[in-house]
Amino acid sequence: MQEFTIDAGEKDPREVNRTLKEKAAEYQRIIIENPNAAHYRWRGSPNL
Amino acid sequence: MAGLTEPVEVEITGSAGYFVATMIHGAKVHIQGNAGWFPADNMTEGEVIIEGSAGDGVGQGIYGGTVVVKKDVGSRTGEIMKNGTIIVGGNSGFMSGLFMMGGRIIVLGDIAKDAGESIIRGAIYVGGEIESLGKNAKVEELEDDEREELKELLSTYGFQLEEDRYQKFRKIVPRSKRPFYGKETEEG
Repeated sequence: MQEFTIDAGEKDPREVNRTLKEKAAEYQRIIIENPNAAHYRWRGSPNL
Repeated sequence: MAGLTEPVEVEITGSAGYFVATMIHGAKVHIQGNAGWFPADNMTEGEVIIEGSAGDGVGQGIYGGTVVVKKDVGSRTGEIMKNGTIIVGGNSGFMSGLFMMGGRIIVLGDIAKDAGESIIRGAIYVGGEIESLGKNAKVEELEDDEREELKELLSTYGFQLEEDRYQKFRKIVPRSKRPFYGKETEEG
């Protein structure tokens, strides 16, 4: 299974979401490290 | 990309804040820590598993899929949900199942007051105490096949309950399917 890791520690939620949606088309599994309980992450809205 | 619609697995190695995994369609999201308010809000398909606790509005308005919270959750769990399944390993707070329109909520622990407030469709299965019922909610006993279905589902998500705990489960269901149009009678 192809994996991709995103380090969310220094990124704002929009950037994390954008990267996630790009990589979701390419990888089967995505690991998000350092989530830090940030709000509005990993949601499906096209606007975030 | 019009939303996270890929059938991807997402592993979050800590806790998430508000609105995690909302509006997903097909993704499987595993959160190793806790989550804030409204996890899986308006999900249409997929799976969200939270190993810790979560805040208010877990699975609000979901159309399908499964949300699992291994520990306690806040208030208004499954508010206006249309379908799908929400499993709470601990207790669920005030007005769980508020305006619920379908699907099922399964609470292994206690459920706080006004449970199933204005529930219209669906069922809330409760393994612990029901503090009080909301308007249009009533309690029924489970059929044997419902218990078997619960066992199968809960074991899938790693909940191993002793047999006597399954015997204690009851369900909260609507008294009327038309609670807002009635006059003197339940069915209006």
